[in-house]
Amino acid sequence: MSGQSKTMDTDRPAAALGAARSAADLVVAIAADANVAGFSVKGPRRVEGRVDAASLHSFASALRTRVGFEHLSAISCVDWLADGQFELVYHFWSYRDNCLVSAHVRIARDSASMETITDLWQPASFFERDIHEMFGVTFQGNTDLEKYILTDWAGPPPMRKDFVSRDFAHDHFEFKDYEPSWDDLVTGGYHGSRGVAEGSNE
Amino acid sequence: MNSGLGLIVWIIAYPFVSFFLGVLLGGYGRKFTARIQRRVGPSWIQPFYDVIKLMSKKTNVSHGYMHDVAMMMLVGGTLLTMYFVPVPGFHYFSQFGDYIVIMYVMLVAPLGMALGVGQTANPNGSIGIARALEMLAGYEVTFVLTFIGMAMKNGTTSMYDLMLAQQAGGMATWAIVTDPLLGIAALFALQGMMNEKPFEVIVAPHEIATGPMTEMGGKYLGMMFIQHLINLVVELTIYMNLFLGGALNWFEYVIKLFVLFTLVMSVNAVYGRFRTDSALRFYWKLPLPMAALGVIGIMIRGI
Amino acid sequence: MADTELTQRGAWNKVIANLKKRSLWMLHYCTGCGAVELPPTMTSRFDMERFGIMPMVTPRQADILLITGYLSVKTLKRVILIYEQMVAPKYVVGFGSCTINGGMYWNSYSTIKSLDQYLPVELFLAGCMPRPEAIVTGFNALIDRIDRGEANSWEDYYKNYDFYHKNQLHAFGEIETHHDIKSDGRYFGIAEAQR
Repeated sequence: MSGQSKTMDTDRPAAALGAARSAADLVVAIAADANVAGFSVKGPRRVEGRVDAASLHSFASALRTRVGFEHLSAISCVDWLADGQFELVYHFWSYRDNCLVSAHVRIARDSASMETITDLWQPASFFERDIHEMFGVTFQGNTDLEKYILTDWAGPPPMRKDFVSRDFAHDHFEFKDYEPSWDDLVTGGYHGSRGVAEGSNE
Repeated sequence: MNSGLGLIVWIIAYPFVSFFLGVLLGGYGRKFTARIQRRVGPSWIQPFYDVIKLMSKKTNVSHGYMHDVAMMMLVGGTLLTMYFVPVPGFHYFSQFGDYIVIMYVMLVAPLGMALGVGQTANPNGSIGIARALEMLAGYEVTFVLTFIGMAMKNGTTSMYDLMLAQQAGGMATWAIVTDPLLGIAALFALQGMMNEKPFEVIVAPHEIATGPMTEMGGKYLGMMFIQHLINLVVELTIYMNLFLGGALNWFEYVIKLFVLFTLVMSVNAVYGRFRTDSALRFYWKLPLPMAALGVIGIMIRGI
Repeated sequence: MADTELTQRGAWNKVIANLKKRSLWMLHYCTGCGAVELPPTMTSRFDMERFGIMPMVTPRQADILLITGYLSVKTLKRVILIYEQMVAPKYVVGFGSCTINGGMYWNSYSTIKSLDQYLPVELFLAGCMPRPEAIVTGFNALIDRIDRGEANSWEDYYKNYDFYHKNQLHAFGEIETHHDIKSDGRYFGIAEAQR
């Protein structure tokens, strides 16, 4: 792989394909080696598979150091309400081989907890704080799980599927009883409690 | 207008006349800039509406006694300078003072502003004041050198006498024609004194939230606007008296004011803003040596 | 706001209102996505400056606070801080449908639905978002209101501070604004309404 991956000539797509395929194969090999099941090559530049929560940290570390997947693109979270599980998806990208690996981790939904990977990628704490705020997943080992998006939020984690945003909005905010008449051309029609705007053509 | 009842009437009326001229100049400047930008632009007397609006604000936020006093110092300093600068028909106070007095009285206004803005304790204001005082080190040195040059050349430090000499000789004796180095160096300094681009860094609206004007609202800002408008007239008149022959009737005075202001606004319209250190470096590299060469030329020719 | 009160304005107040309306400065604080329509309104094509409306950068110098678009609870906290720093008379213009009744984000858990529960609003501009022509017409309507002496919603904040404060507390909790509205209201002679 180290010989093929640095071609910069017109052969690049083919070489990249070749390089990616060999990186993907390497990933699949590492996964098998780490006793992680279910990795498969989905396309010339995509590898996808399931990882246990316990083995993710060592898998990510191996990806980074042995195969050259230096870029953590994102960590995202999917709420499987019916299964009672959260699915954390870790997206790793390799600059050298232009290959994306997405590792899917399933964790239990109640008192969700996962090991942090901020010791490998410090900016991962950004994603982990986001998921902590929005889904309520605690990341063990991350000491900086402070809120930064919903700083005055007192309700349940809002991205969970059992949180219905519309009901929450109806409970906590008051709407106007508002029936506009669109006959007046410019700004007429709103006769609320404040600020009647009379158009300039009266 | 220089004695008796006429003097008293004029002393009372002079600030209003100056304000009126300042409003016309300010409105003309905004209209001119707007037309360059292919817009219609505000009304010709828009600064008057701005001042009225500001002075009619009903609540005011004061940051303390020094804040209030310093604003009065700001307007007072500019008015004091105004009385010493001769205009057509009025030169009563010129007998008590001359360039030197004008030069140091001109600095009372920025000092007042610095005190007031310091009291508001807003970091944007402090940055703005620091920049204003740094820019002073740039343009004021050049301007003082040109003053000294003109004083040496004519053997007098009275602005009124200098104006009379230039008027008597006609356009060929205007100082900008006989000493172009000094005249052009003073033009650069004038652009800085009036805080027009490219030397507008003390205001810098989107960077430091208008600098010294940050915490000023309502009537305080109204005072700053009045001071700014009168300051326009005073500074342009100083330059005009020194280098463009002054004026002995109001028609010539107003024409020269507007022509000079058009030049200043034209430069303002096409330039961006220099950083403080760039502006200072510019002033010490080009206008200051120009003024120094001009003074040396006068020394060689005259003495 | 009885009509008799308005017609009894003295001549001085009428003259001042006529002059004041020609110079309105808006705070260039773009709270939401509706603010993208402001640069076209300020530049050559639609030229807001011919009405005397200029953008200003600090709340102390501005007259108009434009709430352009949706207002999340997080931003509302800062907007209250800004509103209380502005010098009266000040006008809040609700810009876009989101300020009227929630707009496009009506079912969101973190945007407010109705701006006039938290701040006294002078004028609403419907649209998502209003085009520069609508903005100019809206500003002209505001200018007419100022001319007639009806644009006094800023006093409402002092009069009904309990109402606004209660809604603000409910939305985002306690905030320290360094302005004591009740004592300011008494100082400026604006009596509290008996609700």
